[in-house]
Amino acid sequence: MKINPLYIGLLLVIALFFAVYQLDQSKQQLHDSKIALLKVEEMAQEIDALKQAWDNPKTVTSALNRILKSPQLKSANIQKIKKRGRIVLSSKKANLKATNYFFIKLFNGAFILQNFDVKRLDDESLSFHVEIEI
Amino acid sequence: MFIDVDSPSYLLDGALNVILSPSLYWVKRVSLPIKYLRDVKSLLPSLFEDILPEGKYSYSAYKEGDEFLLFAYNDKEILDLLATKGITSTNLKNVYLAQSEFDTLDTAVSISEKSILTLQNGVVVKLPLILFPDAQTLDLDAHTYSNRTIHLTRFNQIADKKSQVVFASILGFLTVMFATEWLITSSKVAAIIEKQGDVFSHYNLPSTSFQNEAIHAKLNNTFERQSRIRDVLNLALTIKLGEDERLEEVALEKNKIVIVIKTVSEASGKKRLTKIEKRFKHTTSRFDNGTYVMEVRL
Repeated sequence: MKINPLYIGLLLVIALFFAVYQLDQSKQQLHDSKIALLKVEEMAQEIDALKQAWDNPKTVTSALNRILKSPQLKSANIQKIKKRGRIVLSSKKANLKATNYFFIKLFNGAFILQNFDVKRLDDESLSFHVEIEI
Repeated sequence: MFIDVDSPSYLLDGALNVILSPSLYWVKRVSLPIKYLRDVKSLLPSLFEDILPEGKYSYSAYKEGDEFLLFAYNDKEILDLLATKGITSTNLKNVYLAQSEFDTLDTAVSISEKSILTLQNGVVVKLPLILFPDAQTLDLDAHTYSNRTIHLTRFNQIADKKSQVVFASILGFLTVMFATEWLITSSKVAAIIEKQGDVFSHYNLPSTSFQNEAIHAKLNNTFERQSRIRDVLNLALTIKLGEDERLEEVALEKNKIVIVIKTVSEASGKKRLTKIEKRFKHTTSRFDNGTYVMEVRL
């Protein structure tokens, strides 16, 4: 039986529309996935940078040790206790200069401060207690 | 059913075989120096061009012995005639030419009160009944149909075969072109999705976006909290106090920072810490026995 050319033409037109529709969809998908890739790259770089700064226990420990070894803090007699995932630093009596030095270093570094308490004892001295996450 | 220009009109329900009278087509029985039928088919328009009236025609041919039987017919005219006889395209099961169905006639057969069919030089022709008054009436009840059918279509009137082929080729080419581009684009999408996984592995991160989004949110939260703590402390440690005032305590508790200053009055304490109050909206304060306490929620 001979097929009506109209049917063949119709089939070709449908096939053409299907191909054009699919192409349009996949171009949209390509555009979306390019944007998604850029976002993923951006997020990965951001995570990497944040991890370097805020999730690096080794760096935190060595930076803290460097601070504690400073001659300016000798008089403060800072006690260091390592707890589970935390380092607790405390001083029963420290002069203003040492306390200033200690907290400037602490606040300018990427230390995750969990708790702290700085209390004035008298005009010249303070006591403090700091918990840092590692 | 035999159809001639003189045939009556019918009321039909369903599809049936139709045999076309010789008056509805042109026929040639020819010997050609060509072996194959497919070679003859391309020559058909030129073989009929000197005898056909102006119009769009379809052609068919078959081989009988050493000779070829060639046919030309006007689809539109036949379909229009069939329509006047009450036969539409839906009523057509198969369409045959009288030549292929009655080429073995022994005697003349009458097809109406005025006409008969007979064979002349191997060609089925329609002649007046008066020439064969004893002709028997055509009976198709016991007729065995050949497999030589023709196809009637109005499409041939819109565009000739060549134009149809060109049109179909263009459509086909465009379809293939777009389909190829679709496949290429799809493979690019797959490559980009694969690259997303590579980005994570490059930074030693988990393989799924979901896990990484959670890590990103956690780290970002840490960063924001720590920045906020430092912002509050920066303001707290730079407040200007009077001679009889002093900062007594600064503490970071779970979700708040407590600032304690020794001062003369509540108004004075409030004034000293007004910068913090303006910048951080979630603050509470109290004054008790010469001590002003402000709590800043993180």
